[in-house]
Amino acid sequence: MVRRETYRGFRKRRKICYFCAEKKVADYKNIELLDRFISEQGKILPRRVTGNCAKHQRSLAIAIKRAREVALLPYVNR
Amino acid sequence: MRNYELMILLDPNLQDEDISALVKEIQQTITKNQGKIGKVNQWGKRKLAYEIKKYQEAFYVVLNFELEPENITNIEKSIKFEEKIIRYIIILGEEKIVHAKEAKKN
Repeated sequence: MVRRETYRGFRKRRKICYFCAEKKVADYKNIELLDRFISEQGKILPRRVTGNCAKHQRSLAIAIKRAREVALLPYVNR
Repeated sequence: MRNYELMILLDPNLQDEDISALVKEIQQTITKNQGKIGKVNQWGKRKLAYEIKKYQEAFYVVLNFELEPENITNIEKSIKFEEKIIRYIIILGEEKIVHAKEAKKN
């Protein structure tokens, strides 16, 4: 059995969109979830790292930006 | 009618009574504008990811309601001039979110 897990740095060539697999939608209130898709500096991780599909990456980006607006996530993390 | 979600961040120095009074006030303005009040979710005090108006933390309250789109500006105006609210966000509540929650249960 191969577990689907998203590793930040190196991961094997298996690109599975987290949101497609889990049938979830990114919500700006769900910080624990969004936290997995931002870098240590607070940047949104690119699709090539997360393996998300284009549709869900877009909705994820909107959710992260909303979360930043209400100070749930930082704009910059120094 | 559309579903809206309003999140407000309140002054951390407020008392619980002040918060519930403020929430009621907002709900009254919603009903005055022919809206329907949905869920209210009080998150309590939370640390802010960054400083807002010199505050390090704030009370988070999430309100769901239904409203005709042309009346949303009235609600926004009343929130804007409330000094206890340090930040707010109004978003269109997508139905997809509800589906996602249902999926979680299953």
